[in-house]
Amino acid sequence: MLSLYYPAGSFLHRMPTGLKLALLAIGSAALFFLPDSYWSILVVAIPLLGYVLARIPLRIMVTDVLRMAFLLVFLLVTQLIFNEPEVATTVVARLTTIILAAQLFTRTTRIKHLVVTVEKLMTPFEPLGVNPSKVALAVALMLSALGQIMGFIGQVRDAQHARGVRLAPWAWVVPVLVLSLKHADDMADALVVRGLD
Amino acid sequence: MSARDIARIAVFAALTAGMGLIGAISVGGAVPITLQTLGVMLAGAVLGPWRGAASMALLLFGVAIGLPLLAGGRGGIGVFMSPTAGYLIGWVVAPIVIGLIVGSRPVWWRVALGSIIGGILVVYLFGIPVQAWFTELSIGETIITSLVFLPGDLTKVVIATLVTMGLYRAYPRAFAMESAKRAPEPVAH
Repeated sequence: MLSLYYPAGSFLHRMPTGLKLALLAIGSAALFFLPDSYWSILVVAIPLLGYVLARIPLRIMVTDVLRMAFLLVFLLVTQLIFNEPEVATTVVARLTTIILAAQLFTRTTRIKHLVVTVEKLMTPFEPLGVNPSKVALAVALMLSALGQIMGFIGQVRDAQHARGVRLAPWAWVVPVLVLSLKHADDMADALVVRGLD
Repeated sequence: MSARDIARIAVFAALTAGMGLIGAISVGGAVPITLQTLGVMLAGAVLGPWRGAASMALLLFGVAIGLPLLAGGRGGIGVFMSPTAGYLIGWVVAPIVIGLIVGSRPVWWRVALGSIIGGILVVYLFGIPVQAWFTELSIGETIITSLVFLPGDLTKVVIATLVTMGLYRAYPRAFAMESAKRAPEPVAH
């Protein structure tokens, strides 16, 4: 569910995670200096080229683009109502580029490497009272819990269907919360047993 | 911070991410309508102000390092350089306000009031100026476009209130100002 990682062994996959994060952050920030013009649409080619270089199949690239199609159409329409077409083009092109680049990062980075990087990233904040291994632990727990919770949602919805209960569309929320919080307590117990308290 | 606190913070961050991934009311938009703000409201009402804020900060930290945890699988540091950035910052402040209003024992009107003030007003207070700046619109124009989301937000306040009270009946341990000091119970399976 969570792993959007697509193994392809390109140079983007092998690049250190910290460097990739930095490139993403700097690149995204740089896009805000883009002048308003129709030419700004060309920057969208950068992440798309990245997908090709990362040897990610076209099918996945198309999925990633389509996922944001709604957002972009809505944004474009509101922009065209209130702004000049040049400005609208730049705003939409900038956003498309950033989202695709972030997605490309996720497609080429293993969660395992991410957690190690988190721990390293947090180390300088140690004197401020930040515990790097606790932050990394929290990130790892969040990722594992997410998989569990998506499972809980499926289970609860199935159970409600099976009993023929016609409830409000959000009736699954309370049972899922109860299961999730119990899961949290179980995880905590497991951590305490392992001496991580 | 105990292991129990970290686990709950992590689980609420994951719940909020999950509410976005299933995309129940996601119809797209510059600021999409999603169930995620329901997660923000519940984090404050259930975990209390500080752990609630920590869980949202953890979620945003995950987003910042590139995990696709926002509605529709969005993520990455770029999200913080987009029109939605202000709303996301508001997500961290909202549980503090909600948690302080709700207190240690949920009462329905406090949850509803907290969700309106924290979950809507505070989030918009941070979100609208940033959105206006990014989209090069005036504050007034941005407020008008944001009104589209108000009915959805009010619906989420109602759901958050019903869910919080339901959870309080079903699993009172969840509201646990006292949980941090509770000894681990035997795991029954």
